[in-house]
Amino acid sequence: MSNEYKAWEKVANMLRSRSLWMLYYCTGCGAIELPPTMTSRFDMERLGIGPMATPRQADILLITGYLSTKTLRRVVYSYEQMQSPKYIVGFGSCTLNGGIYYDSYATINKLDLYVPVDLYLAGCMPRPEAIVSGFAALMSKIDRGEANGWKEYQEKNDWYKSNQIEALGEVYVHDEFHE
Amino acid sequence: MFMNIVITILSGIALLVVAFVYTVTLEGIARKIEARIQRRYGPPFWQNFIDIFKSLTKYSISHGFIFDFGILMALGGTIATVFFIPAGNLAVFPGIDNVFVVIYLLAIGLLGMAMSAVGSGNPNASIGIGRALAQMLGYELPFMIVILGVFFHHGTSSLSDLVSIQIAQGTYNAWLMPIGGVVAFVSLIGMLGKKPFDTFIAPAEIASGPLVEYSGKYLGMLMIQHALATFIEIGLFVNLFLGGGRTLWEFLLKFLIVYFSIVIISATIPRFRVEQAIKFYWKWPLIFSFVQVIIVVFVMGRR
Amino acid sequence: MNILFVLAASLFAAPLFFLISKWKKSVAYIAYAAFQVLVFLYVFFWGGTGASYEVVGITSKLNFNFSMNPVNWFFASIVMLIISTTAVFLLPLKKSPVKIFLLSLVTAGVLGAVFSADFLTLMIFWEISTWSSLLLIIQDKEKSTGEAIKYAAIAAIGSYSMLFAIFYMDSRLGTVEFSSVALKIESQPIGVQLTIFIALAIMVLAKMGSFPLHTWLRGSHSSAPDEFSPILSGGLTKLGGFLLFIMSIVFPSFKVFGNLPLLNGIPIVNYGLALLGGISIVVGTVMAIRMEDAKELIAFSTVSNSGYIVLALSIGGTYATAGGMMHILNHAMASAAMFMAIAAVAYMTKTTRMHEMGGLIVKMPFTFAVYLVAIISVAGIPPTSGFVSKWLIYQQLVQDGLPFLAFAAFFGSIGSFMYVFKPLAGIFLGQLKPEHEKVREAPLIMLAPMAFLTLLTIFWGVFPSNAIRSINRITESIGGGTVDVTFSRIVALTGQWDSVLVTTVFVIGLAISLLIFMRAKKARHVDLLDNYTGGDFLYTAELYHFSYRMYRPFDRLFEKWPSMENWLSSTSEKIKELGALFRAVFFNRNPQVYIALTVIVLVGAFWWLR
Repeated sequence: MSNEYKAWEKVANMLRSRSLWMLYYCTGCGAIELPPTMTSRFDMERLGIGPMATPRQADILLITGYLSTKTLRRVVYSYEQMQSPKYIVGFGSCTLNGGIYYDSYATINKLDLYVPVDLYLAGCMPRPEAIVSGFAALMSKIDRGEANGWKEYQEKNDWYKSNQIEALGEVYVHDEFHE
Repeated sequence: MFMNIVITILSGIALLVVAFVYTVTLEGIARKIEARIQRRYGPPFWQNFIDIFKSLTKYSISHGFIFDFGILMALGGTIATVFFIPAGNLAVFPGIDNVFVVIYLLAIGLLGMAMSAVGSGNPNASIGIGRALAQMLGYELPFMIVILGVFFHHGTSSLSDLVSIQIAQGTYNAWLMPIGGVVAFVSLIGMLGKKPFDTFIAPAEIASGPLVEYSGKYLGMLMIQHALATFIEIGLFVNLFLGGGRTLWEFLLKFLIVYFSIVIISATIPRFRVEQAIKFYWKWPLIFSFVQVIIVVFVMGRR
Repeated sequence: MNILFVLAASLFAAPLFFLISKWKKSVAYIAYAAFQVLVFLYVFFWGGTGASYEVVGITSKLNFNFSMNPVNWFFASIVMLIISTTAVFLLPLKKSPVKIFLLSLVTAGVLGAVFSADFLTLMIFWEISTWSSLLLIIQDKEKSTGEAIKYAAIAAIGSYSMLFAIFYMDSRLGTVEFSSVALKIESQPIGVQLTIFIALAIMVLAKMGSFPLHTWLRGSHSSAPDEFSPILSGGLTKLGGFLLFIMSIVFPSFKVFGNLPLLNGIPIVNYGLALLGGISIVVGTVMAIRMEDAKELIAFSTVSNSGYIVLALSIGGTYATAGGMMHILNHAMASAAMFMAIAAVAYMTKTTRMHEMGGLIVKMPFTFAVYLVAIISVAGIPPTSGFVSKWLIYQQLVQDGLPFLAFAAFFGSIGSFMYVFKPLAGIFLGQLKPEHEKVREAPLIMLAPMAFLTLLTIFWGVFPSNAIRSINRITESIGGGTVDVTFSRIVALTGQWDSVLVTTVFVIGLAISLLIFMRAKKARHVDLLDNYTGGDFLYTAELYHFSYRMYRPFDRLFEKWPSMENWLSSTSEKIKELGALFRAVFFNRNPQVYIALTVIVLVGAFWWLR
């Protein structure tokens, strides 16, 4: 089983790395670097990366910039709506260590505590060349079979959930109309 | 008798494989052509294969029985229709591949996808399906009237018979009925769901419409269905108006020419709203289709 | 088989059931259901053999003629099938003695009509069923008298027209029997032929619900009790098909009008009738797409399909005749199945407005399956029987080269995808409303007749040769052409197809896609409220069910079109104004006006008589 399984997983990883679909989830100021990356000058589609409209269809969730607590709730919900195998790319320094909003009461500082991040792109904000090289690094990481954030989220779910509740209070906003 | 069944099964499998491989490759090349029109490189031409197989390896969610069954009906109906399209000298059911059967079997595919999309419970999907069904009324009418003229003139509505008649006569229906050929070409763009008639997908407006809740294998199966539906519709046009082909390679060449013309046209046009699309189809294409049929029935007569 | 015995039994059963239901309602209804099933089985199995002809003399000159030949058997089987399945279906619904009396009268009238052999018998029995159905429509809702009056008015137009035709025939030809009139009418002057044809055509259009006499169907269906709608749409309107078949095919109307100008080989009178059928298809389809109530939607679908039958039986020719007859069968089954499914849903949820429901497929899956097969048949998709009749009609249109009628036929077929999908999406799919959590599946006594109709639809879709051979017998007895059909292949002059092959290929396609589906990873089931809405959280299901005005962009295209109902209401307003004018002039309260009128009349009389 293991040899066949490993070969099949290798082929699957090769397929996944060469056809990544990105969710149009562009909140935060880093999103402004995405249109140049997608369009004709720094064509992202030649790497096989294309935009997809809903989390159900997407593979990559691109967190572009700072995350307020309100947005973090929706990010967690969208991440859980995505289907495995899925990858998160933390885009910009705000996801690494808070960036220029490190001392704000409304934003989070380290994204990895709440959702598993596979790749960080430092910069404020990273230029399209940096984004493309970052995606190339993500692709080789998937090829090697090391981009397993989704598996970690399932295994260490309690840890992630306790971090989320500590920061947000509640992840699924309660229904104000019916209470 | 037994050999006939074996030959039919083998040619059916061959046709299905050819349809799938060729169409998905052409879709990849079309992406490259669109990219070059937009002055960039595009993905490699085998990109669509990777997309389909990657989708089939992902996990997925389901919203209930009708969600699954609709997809099966969509892909099943489309696969069934592929068997009725003759491709050059590869005709699985010569003589009994009636065009009306093809068109209505294709409708099973649409109905299955519609049921499955609305069964997901997302209002975006229902909006997309409403638009798709309304648009279908737009593009089917001129097409069906033109092919009525074709059938009346040749006295048969079987695809393989029409192909052999056109090859024997030496003139294609596109030269015999040029107005009808152009109207059918414009209808074909609507059938394929390419710009300017792709309002029911509309990624930025309604979150890709019917596809909104599909993931993993559902999306993969829908992409296969889309590729096979493209093969069926363009194959229908090539067989009806461009004489099919004496051999498989001639058919595939004509297929390529028609497909790339459509790709080049749609890469440069924005999309219509759905009522603009219906009004467009019911104005000049409908008028020209009536003109063509009246010419065929009263002037050209039966062959 | 003994026609008179069956007819007499049906007629006397009506007051009998009324008396039984005064004692115990359920016993009467069960007796009625059992009686209808017995009659159906008797007609279907014993009626196909041989022909018989019976005369009942009332006075010295007045005779009721009944006959039993393939035509009568075909129509009787269809009508009794619908009535017997509905009779079983309505057992759990609300019962009343008046309803069972009227239902039995309707059945007796319909039976007499389909077995008739002359116009007078046909008319009398048809009127019995029309009047009974009129009273039946006003049984359930209080506000339905307006709709019933519309039905009565348009039925009266048809009835008076047919009465005129009967008296005219009797005075000119001396007979009103079908076969004698068919023989004698060829030698009459063209004026007589045209008058009789047009008068009978008006009756056909009125009773079938075709343009321009289609406005009654919508109101009648929406206010009729749920159990009566299948009979109205699947049984009573098909009597119009019977009359149309007699006057268009049995009478040699194509020979008779052959001296008139021909259009593509069809006499202009028949073409005019076919054109009315075509307009009816388009009007029915466009109006059906705009409806928000499921029963009104299916009522307009009946208008559209009646147009198909009128079109097919008017253009004549082997394939159109066979297609039209088969369409009578298909539409009766499909329309009855659709109405029964909606009635089952209404029985459970107490409403037929589609936007108030949703997501009922998890609660009522079998009703959904019945409705799905019925709409696939109405849309004309293989492998159901609806495709067979549509294919035959298309072949005739191709053979004759009729572009405008073909436009109407294609419009009706493709537009029907739109309007049959709307109740499917509105009622069965989408989000489930919290107040419908307690809804259960319809009881077995309601499911069994629906399932029977569904199985018949699929059976005649996969093996249409069964039904087409019966139709061939009919057309052969008239002297027309027959459709070449083998075990599963139908051959027309301009094409052929094999139904078993199509079904097999479809099943193979399903098998291949099932294979791909199974090989991939198993899907995780999620709730309907776990949906993509831009990352937000969903709690209220009724806000996310999109079905009200689903085709709003399409409706906007047709908003400015003239509407028959508006024209009729404005005409009635004008007549009222004219009446008010007369009243103001001649019946004024003011006595001086009377004195003035008297003086004017006297002066005028003296001046004239001087």
